[in-house]
Amino acid sequence: MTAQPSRHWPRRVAPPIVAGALALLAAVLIGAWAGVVALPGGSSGSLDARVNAIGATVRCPACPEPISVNDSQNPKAWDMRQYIRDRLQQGASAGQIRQELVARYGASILLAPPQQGFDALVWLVPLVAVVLAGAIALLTVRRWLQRTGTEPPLGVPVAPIEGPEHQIYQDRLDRELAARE
Amino acid sequence: MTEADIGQVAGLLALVCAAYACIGSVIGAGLPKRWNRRPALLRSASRAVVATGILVAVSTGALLYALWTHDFSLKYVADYSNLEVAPAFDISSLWAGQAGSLMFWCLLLNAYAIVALWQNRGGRNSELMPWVMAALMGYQTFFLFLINAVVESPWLRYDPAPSDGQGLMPLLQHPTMLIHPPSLYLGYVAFSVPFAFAIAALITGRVDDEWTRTTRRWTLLAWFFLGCGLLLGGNWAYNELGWGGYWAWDPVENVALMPFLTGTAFLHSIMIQQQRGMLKVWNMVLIITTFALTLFGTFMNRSGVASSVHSFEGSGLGVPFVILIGVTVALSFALVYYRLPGLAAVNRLDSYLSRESAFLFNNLLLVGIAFAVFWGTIFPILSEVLRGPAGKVTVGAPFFDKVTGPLFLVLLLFMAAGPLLPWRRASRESLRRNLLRPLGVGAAAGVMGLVLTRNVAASLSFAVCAMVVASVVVEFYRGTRAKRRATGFTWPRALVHLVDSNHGRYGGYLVHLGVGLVALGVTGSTLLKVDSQALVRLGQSFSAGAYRVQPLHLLQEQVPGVGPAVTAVVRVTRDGQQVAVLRPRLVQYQSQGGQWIAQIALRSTPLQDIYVTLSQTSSSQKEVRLHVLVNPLVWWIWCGGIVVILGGLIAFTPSLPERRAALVLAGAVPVVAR
Amino acid sequence: MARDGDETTPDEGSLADRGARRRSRAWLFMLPLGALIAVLAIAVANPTQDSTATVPRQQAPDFTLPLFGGGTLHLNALRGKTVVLNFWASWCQPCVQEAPILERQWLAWKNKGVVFVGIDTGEDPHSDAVRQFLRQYNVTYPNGWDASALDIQYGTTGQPETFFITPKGMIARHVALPFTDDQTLSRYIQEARA
Repeated sequence: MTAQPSRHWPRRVAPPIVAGALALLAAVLIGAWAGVVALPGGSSGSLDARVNAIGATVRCPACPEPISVNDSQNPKAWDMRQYIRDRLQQGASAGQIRQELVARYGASILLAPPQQGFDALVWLVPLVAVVLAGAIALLTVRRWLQRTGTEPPLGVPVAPIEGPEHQIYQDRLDRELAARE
Repeated sequence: MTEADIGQVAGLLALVCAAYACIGSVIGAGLPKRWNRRPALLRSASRAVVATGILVAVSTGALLYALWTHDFSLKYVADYSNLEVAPAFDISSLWAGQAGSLMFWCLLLNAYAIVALWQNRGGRNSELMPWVMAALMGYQTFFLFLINAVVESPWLRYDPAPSDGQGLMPLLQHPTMLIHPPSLYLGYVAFSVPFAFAIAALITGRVDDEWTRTTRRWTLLAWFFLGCGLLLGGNWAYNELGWGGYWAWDPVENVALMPFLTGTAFLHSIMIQQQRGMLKVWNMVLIITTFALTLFGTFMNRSGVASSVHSFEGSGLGVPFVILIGVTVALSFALVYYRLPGLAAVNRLDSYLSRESAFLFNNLLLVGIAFAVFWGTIFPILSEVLRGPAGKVTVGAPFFDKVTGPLFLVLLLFMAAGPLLPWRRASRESLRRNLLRPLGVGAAAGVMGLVLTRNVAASLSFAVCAMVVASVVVEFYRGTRAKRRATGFTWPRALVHLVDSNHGRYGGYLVHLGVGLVALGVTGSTLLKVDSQALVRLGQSFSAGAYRVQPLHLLQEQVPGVGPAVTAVVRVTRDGQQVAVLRPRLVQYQSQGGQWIAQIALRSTPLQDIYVTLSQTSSSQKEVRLHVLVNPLVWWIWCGGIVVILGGLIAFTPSLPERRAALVLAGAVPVVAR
Repeated sequence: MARDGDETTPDEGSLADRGARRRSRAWLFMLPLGALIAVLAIAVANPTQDSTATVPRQQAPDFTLPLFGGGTLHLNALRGKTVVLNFWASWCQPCVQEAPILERQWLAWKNKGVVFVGIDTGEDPHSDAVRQFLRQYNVTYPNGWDASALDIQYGTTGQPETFFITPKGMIARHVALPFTDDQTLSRYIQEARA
């Protein structure tokens, strides 16, 4: 009689629960992403709010660490906020202001690289890596689940001895081995 | 013979001893067992480890003595300490400079090696120990070589000796700075031990779980101290640096976070290996990566490759470190490759919905977050190398928040679900029973958050944090209730006995609870904060969220031992009612060339922090520039941090069964049949 | 319990086969890691050089500068002349050290179609320290204060920073370091005049 491994294998939990869990995950991810991903500096809100929004994406030019002009209390940071405020009052858009600053200071004045060209890689690579890793993990898990039930090789304990009893046995073993050398 | 001479000679001898210990261990381990000189050689190498430790202690002690007695004839002492600074900060000057901090690293590494030797005395792990010592002493030799031959020597002399030194930066003269760097170092260096055991296991082929059991406490120790260091650093930044935040995604902060994340992943995945015999290759890769990240961390701090306020002055350390990291990674992975067949899994996964599966995804997320942080940290370096100086970009908070935020959120979700899933397989009924209550609490918190804040991301985060807290509380409740039924104890006593019966599990749950609270605080202060700054006349007020801020007048003061200060008396009102009167100030540090440093004023409640900085006063003393932040929920970060520390301490200490077993082994009590 | 029949289970393959597959996959993993370490090695071997001309030739932004001692100065009114624009602050040590050099060179070049303009930035312009600075170094060229974030419009990150503007109004050079000798300053002026 040929072995029928699938019958001995524990029944997998039904797909609806897995699908439900994945849907919840997706909802969490999308919701969080939506809350954080929009590039700030839109045309709504008070002048102060708009200065803050743009300032959060611009780096303090005189500080060694990557801190925004909102957070830094360096005089150059104040001047930069003044510049942003003046330009907004003159009617420039957030994109224009950022572009002007990049023209003067170079791309490193922005706290996060723009999403085009080579710099798009900074955003893409983690996304691709996580998706890829997730896919590999799911496939690996599926392959592990599909592996037919096998008896563990002889001599390997099914449930490992753990905790303090393990320590007692291990010490005794070590002592006896040391005595043999 | 001054202490400097003693220190220098001891340092040189330590290098020789460490090299001997390493080579001796390698030869001794590699020789066939039948060679009758082998035990003697191995014993000699072990003694060399202890000797190195003593010599490093002497050398470090000499430097500490020089700092304590203000021996300004030594350049190191003159650079990093002065007469005015409090004595405690003379000690902290040890790790202020390149050479001193390397010596501190060597001291800790050797101390850990000696403890590992003692732990495994009497022949325990006799196959692994020679290779463990070889690995640890190999790295020790490298670091001692750096101190003796590469960096500016700490024993350089000034002739004639200056009468006073330059001293520590005023911002570093804070009690937290006495603990934050040592804590980080204790954590970083402690990862060397599990790594050394892993390498030893690969070399000897003993790749079963023994090495993971032996090193469980070491991993916990490293994780604990690294976590403490991160929390303390955040607290210090928030209270002292005055920019209103606790985490700037500075490259140096990131490189401490990464091994913490992979170390957390490792702590979980070795549980899978111990329970189910799976993920052996993954665990090897994880500990190698964690250790490589600690080397990378100290490399970033020292080489000046990344621009940061933390970096030491670049001093030619970059190249040796890159070589070290390259060789470490190459050799370690070559060993894993070599032993790949032996690392095959013993058991299989039973179900998607099981604790193993949750741990697997938790690992994935943690390593994913660590990778995102790594990528963001090195991307500026990468873009500069590939496109020249003009192509250099900055990768700061907007990137890290957007990329790691959602991942952390999903991680929290798994953190809530994981403890409630049993090993192997969860049935639908048990799942429903376990998850229903936390899900309900989470949904309620989410709805409440939406109503109160109208912010979708924040509400989702509140929901998930609430789930984490609820699932931990449910676990404690059920366990205590079962204990109470079994023993008849009162609730508090049953709880204590429950925790004592399994420190690892309940300490871990407590850490989960703490992390949930920290996440709550981070959500509030990142997504819901209000930032307002203005240059106003005294008496004029401006708004910050729901509050109105009015500077009343300026006070000229003198801070004893430091210098003059200008204090602004600021009134904060809400709806016409006075909420607080805060006194931020600017202090001039005479000893630091007359630099003016801002000291913040803070009113902290569990609901929100009102944070005021006096940035500037006009020369006419009639106008002030104030920076006001309303940071919701920051209090929960520190509260959660304390819970995490408590949980870590509990997880580290032995449980009641383990203490009883130790007494049995020692022969103190007879074995009692259960 | 012995299992008769198959020696290998359907989708497993023998242990050796699996080992071989895993090993070949391992290479995929090693390559990006090796590339990364190579990049790090290059990064440490070539530390960043500070350049004194970090942005390409651009039109100098026009401004109206309120002057100490009254009046205003328009940059566009100086077309046809070479302009040396210097951002400074009284508390900045290097500015103090280069002040005599600037004043000397101003006196040497003022009749040759070169104008020096100083802009005080990063401090309260009406303070005693500023007045003291101007008096102590006997600054005679036009000097005013930054009221409209000019330092940002010109792309400065600190003090002192000097811009050399051609008679046509283009920025020929941006020096982000203090001057330590007269010859360098002189050379840059000549370069901008040409």
